[in-house]
Amino acid sequence: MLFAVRARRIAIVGAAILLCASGCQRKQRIERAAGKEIEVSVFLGGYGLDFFQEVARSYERAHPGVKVNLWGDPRNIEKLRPRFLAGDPPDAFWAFLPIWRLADGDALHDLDRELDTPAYGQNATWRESFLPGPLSTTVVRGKTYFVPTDLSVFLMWYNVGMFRQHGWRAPRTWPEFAALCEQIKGAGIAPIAFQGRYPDYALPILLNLFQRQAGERPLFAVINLERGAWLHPDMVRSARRLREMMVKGYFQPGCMGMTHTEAQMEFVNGRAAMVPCGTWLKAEMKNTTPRGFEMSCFNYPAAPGGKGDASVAGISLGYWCVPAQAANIKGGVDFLKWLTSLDNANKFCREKDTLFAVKGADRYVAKELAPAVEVMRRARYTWAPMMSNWYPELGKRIGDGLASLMTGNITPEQFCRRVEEVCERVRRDPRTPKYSVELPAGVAQ
Amino acid sequence: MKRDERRTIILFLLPACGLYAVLFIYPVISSLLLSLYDWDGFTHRRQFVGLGNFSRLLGDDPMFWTALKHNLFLLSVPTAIILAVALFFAAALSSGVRGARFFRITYFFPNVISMVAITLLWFFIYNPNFGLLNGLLGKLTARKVSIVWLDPNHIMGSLVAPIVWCSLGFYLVLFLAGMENIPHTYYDAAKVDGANAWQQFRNITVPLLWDVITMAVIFLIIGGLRIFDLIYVMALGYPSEQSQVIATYLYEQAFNNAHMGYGIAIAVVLFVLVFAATAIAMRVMRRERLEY
Repeated sequence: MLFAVRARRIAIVGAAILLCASGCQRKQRIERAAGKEIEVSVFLGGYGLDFFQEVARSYERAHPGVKVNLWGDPRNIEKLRPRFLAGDPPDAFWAFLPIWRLADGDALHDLDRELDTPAYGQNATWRESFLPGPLSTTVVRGKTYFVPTDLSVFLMWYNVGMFRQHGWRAPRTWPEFAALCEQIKGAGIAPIAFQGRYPDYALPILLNLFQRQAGERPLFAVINLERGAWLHPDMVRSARRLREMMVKGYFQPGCMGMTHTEAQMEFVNGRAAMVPCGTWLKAEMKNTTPRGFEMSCFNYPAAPGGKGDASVAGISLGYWCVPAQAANIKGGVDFLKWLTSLDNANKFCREKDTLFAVKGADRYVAKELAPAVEVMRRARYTWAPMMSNWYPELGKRIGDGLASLMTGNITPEQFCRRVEEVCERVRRDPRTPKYSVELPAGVAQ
Repeated sequence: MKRDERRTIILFLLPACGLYAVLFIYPVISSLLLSLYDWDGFTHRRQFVGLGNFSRLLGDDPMFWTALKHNLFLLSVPTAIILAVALFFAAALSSGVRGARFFRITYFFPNVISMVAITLLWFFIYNPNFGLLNGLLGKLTARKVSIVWLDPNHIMGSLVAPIVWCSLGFYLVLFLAGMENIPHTYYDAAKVDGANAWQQFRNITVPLLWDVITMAVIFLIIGGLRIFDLIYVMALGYPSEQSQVIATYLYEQAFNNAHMGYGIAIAVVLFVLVFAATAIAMRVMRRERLEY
């Protein structure tokens, strides 16, 4: 009898909690639909949550009566998946979801109309406020489904103190780079630390080598998955050069077993003179960089006699989206507009030691990033290895191939053939939608 | 049985059956159905492809066969080592060696640690710069050793040691319990007949322990085919083609590549493989039951 009474009480309390939770959720959705609340989901990674929370509070101050419910999670992808399926996604999000597939499945809001409206705090449209190269990567079948935010340039970082002490200088050509590596080796120091457990860190090196040698058209053929692009003689040559860098001992011994942080620790602790990395390096190593350590960076060198423009730079981007089924699409879009305003972009660069895909957002960047800003200013155009984003399986197989190439398990010819085979599989795969980026305006065909 | 009693029994069984149907039967059936679709797992857009996912997997996906090859390696090599070493230690401990209780606890200890923690521990052991293994080899050879144990060339071999280390204790305890049930009079009689320790082991222990060994082999086969966490953590969530196994490939396809339907098809094939391998093992290891 007593058990039955207790069980009934537990059931009543449980039902009340469930009702309350579903009631709260319902109320929240009504508030969002009425434009009084904006729900924002943020990937909680190296950039933390503090900046985004501050942006949310500043948005609330500027828009009285609107509440921004911003939450972060390192695995927000797991929480977003069921919400997409339930038809109740947040109003704006940044997550490592296959956003191109979502765009193809009509699950994202087309931002084109809003991109032509004025940007916050600028005498330009929202579209005009972005750097053109990064924005061009957000177009799917002629429509813009996401906006680029944080921007990283793939560069070679070097130890300024070590270079100064030995009288070394940043190289301008690949032969100069090889000579520099020999000098560094001669001084008993490993020339390049490498994040071998994540071999796709070598992809920007390979593609930069290739672009400098072969030019722009073959590079975009690789990105756009054109038939035979990986079999280009200059691609084989570039792969061979990458392997030679390993054979000649330019990469630190044991690097293929190092994670990104381990390799970068080797660099900041002076056991390697250089490290290939995006501009996130300073922020990523902030807490472990010894006091007084100075780092700087240079763009990948030119190939003498090559067809490619040596000012060109490879970049990677973070993307924010608004789901098509969001309860408050208007609020979600407006929050993104606020987030990518010049003021917030500059704040982000200052606080997070990185770059932003908004024009003029380089006012407060750290001195270590000044060469990266210069690279971006000089770059005739930028490119991003989009094929790894569009087709994750291809990106993974390229990484596997790079590891096998660098450890000498396969020859450069085999590497190129193998990647081309994977590309062919993707091309033939009817399940996978195909994407492409246009060659930047003014670039020779 | 009275009608009322039967009704009461059915009434009591209903909640359990209901839960089983909702939590097990429904997901299995819906998984089987979803494996027939091309679905990204994020949107409601699905396309019926019939057995297309299966024909693609078995006929046009070299990575699946590579992964299966790795599973077979991780199923056979550690199984052989674990069986041999666990049987040897169990025989030694059951023969009344001093400190048997201490050794039993020590060997069993890795079983109470989570697989992720074990993997992280071995991750440090294998570190090329400050790892225990390279340090030990350096001391033995009196020179700096920087073997990259987790690079594409070594990773499969390097996975054997942690699997053996963390599984050994369980099978040791299993065999030990089985050996303790064998009447000692058989060994006494064998000793009188002049049988040495090896002959006693081969002709008494192994035949009378056969059912336990069969069970151990089945557990190891299932474990070897379903292995995921060790590979996933050791490869930092990025298993390369040199370390990919079926379960990690399933995860990659379903969650990273947004091919949920295809990933579920891999899960169905994995289920069939586990079922078939278990049935074959039971058939091959079937012996006449010995009563004692």
